[in-house]
Formats: sequence, C-alpha cells, structure tokens
Amino acid sequence: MAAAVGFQIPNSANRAGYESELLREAVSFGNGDVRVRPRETSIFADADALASRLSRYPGVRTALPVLLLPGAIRGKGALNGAPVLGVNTTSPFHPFRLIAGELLSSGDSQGVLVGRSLAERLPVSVGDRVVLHVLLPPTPKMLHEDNARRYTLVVRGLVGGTFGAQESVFMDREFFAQDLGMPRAASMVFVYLDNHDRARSLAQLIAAEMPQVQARAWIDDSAYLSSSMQASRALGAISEAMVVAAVVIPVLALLFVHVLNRRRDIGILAALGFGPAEIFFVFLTQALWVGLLGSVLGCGIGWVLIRHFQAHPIFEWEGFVIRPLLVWGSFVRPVLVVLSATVLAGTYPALRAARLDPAPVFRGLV
Amino acid sequence: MPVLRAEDLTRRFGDRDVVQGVLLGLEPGESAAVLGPSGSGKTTLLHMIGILERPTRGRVLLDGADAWSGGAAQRARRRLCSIGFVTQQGNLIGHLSARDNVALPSWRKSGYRAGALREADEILEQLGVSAVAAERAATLSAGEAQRVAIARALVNAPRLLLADEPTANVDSENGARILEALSMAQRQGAATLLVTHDAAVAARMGRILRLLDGRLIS
Repeated sequence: MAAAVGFQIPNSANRAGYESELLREAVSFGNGDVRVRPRETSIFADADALASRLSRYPGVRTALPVLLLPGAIRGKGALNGAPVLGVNTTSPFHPFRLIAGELLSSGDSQGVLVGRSLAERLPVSVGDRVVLHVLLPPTPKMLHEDNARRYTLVVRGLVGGTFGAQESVFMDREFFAQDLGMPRAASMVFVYLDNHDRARSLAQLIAAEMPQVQARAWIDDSAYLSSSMQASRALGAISEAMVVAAVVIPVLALLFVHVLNRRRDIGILAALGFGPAEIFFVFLTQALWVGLLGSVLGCGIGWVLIRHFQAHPIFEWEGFVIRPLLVWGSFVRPVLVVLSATVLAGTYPALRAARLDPAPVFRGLV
Repeated sequence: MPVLRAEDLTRRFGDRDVVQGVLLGLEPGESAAVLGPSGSGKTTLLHMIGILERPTRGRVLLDGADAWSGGAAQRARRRLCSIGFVTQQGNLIGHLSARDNVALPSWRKSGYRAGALREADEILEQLGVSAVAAERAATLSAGEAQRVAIARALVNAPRLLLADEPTANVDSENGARILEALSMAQRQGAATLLVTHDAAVAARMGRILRLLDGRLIS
C-alpha cells in the first residue's frame, strides 16, 4: 500500500511537471495560448492596433505581434535555410528562451538571436557575424523590387525552445518591419494568457468578434502538443489502473485471510449481539486503517522521491527540464485512489465476515 | 409471563430430526438443566433458543415475543439485550483483556466505553476474577476463562442465561465456582437454562429435563 502510494505520488508529480514544462515550452516560451492570424491575407498591415485590442481581453498578459518571413543564414560554413521572426524580444513573453548572450534592444539594427541547433550547424556563437537573407512578402509594393533583403548582423544571443525556436532566427521587429517598409506589419499575433485552460474560449470569442482574423487555441493549433498532453494523461490513467490492481489484489487476499483467521472472533461478536452491519463496518474500518496507514507511509516515501527527482530530474535537455510539480493533486489523487481501492478490496472480506454463521463457533467447530 | 417459551421446537439436519417437538418454558429466576448424552441434541436446542440456529419448525418466545422474527440486525439486538451465553470453551476473544471481553456487550449496548469498563470491573469483582482483569484472555486458565465468560454473559443483565456444558473443561473445584457464579444470574432474576451430560451439575439446577434422541422425555 505504502509502496503503491509512494510510487504514484512522484509519478503523478513528474507527469504534472512534464505537462507543465510542455506547456511552458510550447506556449509560454512558444507561440502563445491563442494564435491570431489573418483570415484572407498573409499579413496584418496594422498589427500593433490589433495587439493593443487583443491585450484588452480579460486574462491576457501579452499580445505579441510577430513578423515571420522565410530566410537563409550563413555563418562560418554553408548557407542554411531558416525562418526569420521579427519580435519585440524585450516583451515579457516571446516565442523562445534565451540560453546565452543577451536579448535585442528595441530598434536594434545590428543584432540577431540564433536558435541553438541552427547556431551549432552554422557554426557560430555569441559575438560572431552572420549574413542573413530574407525573402520579402509578395506585396504589390515589392513587385518591381528585389524580392530579397541581405543583412550582416552580430549574434547577440543563442535561444532555445523545443517548438521551433531552436531552428529559427530572431530579429527586432521594430527595425525589421521598418526596414521592409511595413512599420506596423506582422504575420500573426501571439496572445499569452494567465490561464492556459481559457485559451479555447478566448479563441472562440476573438473569432466571433473579429471575423477578419483566424484565432486558434494552442490545443487546436498544435496537434503534437495536444497529443502529447493526451498521451501523458492516458499514461497517468494506465498507471493509476495498475496501482489499483496492485492494491486491490493483495489487500483483498490479505483481508480475506484475516477474516478467515478471525472467524472465531467474528462468530463470538455475532453471538454476543453485534449485527451484520456492525461487523461489516468493523472489518471495513480495518481496511480503511490499513489504507490510511499505507497512505501516510506512502506520502513520506513519495515526498522523499519527489525531493530526489527535483534534485535529479528524470529528463533535461536544452532547458526543457522535467521536474516533479509539487501540487496538492500530486498527493491527494494517489491517496484517494489507493484509499478507494483499499475500501473496494475490503468490501468483500467485510461482507464475508458480516455473513458468518456464529453457530459453528459456539459448537467449537471453528 | 414466562421469560422463555419454546413450542414444538424441531431442527432437521438432512433427513434426521436432531431436535423434535420440544416444548419448555422458564419463569424469571427459574433454573433448569437439560440432561442428555452426547449427540442427543442439547447444543442444537440451546442454539435455537439462543437465536443462533433457526428452527426447522416451531417457535421460541422471549418475554412473549417471537425471538426469530425480524431481520438479522433485530435478532442480534435481541441476543445482545435479552440473552447471555456461556459455552464449554468460554469463547473469549483471545487478544483482548478479560476486562475488555466483559465490557464488549455493554459497550455495544450503551455505546459508552468508560461506563462499560466500570460495569466490567464490578462484575469481575463479584465473580472473584478481578485479579486477572488486565490479562489477555488467551493467557487465562480454563476456570478463570469460564468465570470471565460468565461475567460477560451477565454484564447486560440478561433475561435468559444459556450455558452449554460450562463445567466440562474444568476440575471439580473450578466447576463449583462456576456453578456458584451461574447462581448469581438467578439472584439477578434471570432464567437459567443449562445443558449438560453431568447429572451432578444438573442436580444444582431447579428442574431437570432429560433429552434423548432429540426428544424431551421428562
């Protein structure tokens, strides 16, 4: 019992930690809770006004315009294709994590942030120069001009982020958009919320109030992310089912043998005037005590294991670290599952005890 | 009104009537012994009267009410409040102390543990076994265990005391003490029915009923 609780608590906490880290990586350091894109065109001409309007919805922490263009980058080696994103990197939320170096200052025309995996291939590090080619969007204004722009920039920082940032290039949007002749333009606006669970309802609200935009919640926009979350929850349910089986079978056997061993005492209690319901509850209470004691010990084991996994995470890569999340649910749910399983397992032996015939006991046959 | 009235009490096991058409009654404070050889149906008769084995035919009236009527919980309550049992083996709960064994029925009846323990102490004192009150029942001698069992049977002041060969496993000195303890029930106004194969023990009761092949013959 204690082992089951002690196993399930860090398991639940690690799973919660995985889901939280996945959301942090894909949403908080990714493309936001709600992704707003133009419905008909490829670009919002005045994304700043749209971002300002979006930031007024309740629960919105930041609405970040992002200008996304295809590009290619050359460092010390060959030219590599890479998406180029113009963002305000000093915003409290942005679609990457800074791993080394520093962020771009507002209006920075000389600097660039490079995804860590991309930087390793180029190869470049902080302070190196890179040449960046950006393909411009096919707007009427650009029709008779060169459809590419070339920049020589200094790598100010290296960035990470499992959902695309590793392979991307980031420029300051203010400079980038200005230089392209579209000072307020953006390809999309990432909306960051204080509660990830509200993303879908806000996306629906935005879509209803702004028919010119397409708003999608993270759970609908990223099949990988939603599948990962579902898989994690499915694994959690399977793990719980295994714990229930691991508890029910031995507890049922243990209490059944206990009832068999105590037939004489049960018969005496029945003959003295204890009714079936009282005998049932005496044995069910014993099962509950076994469950409670096991849960208390299991909570101790779980706590120690959680501390261990916090110091030694089960997975760590490029800032994506799975640490057990210490929340009430990590303790309460396993304890409730194990207690319920114990009570379930104790019910049959308790019923057998309640139905025991006292007469053979008094005949000395038991 | 008699405390106990058994009418046409019959118990069939397979194709054999172990007890057949027994008719008996006991008034408050009256004692009777059912005397018979082994296998004559004495214990089965006692169990039917004690609401432990349902009669195949006939009925048991306790203070005029059908003892076997109602559900299991009602019958259990009737055993608790109206009947005291003493068996050949004592049938104490071994891991509990003598005091806790005695207090158990009273605690169950009143729901008040401190009061039940106080009553247990009193009755153990009256039966001369207060010295072993704190000892585990499993460690008691046969004579001590039987007197503790009598204390447990009497603690709820039952209307009917049933004793099944209570002196069978003890020496004559302890047997005398046990019979003396049983007489305390009579003094409290309970009717006592004792089954035995020992004529000397039966002679200590007010009335002797002989059971042979499941039939009362006198």
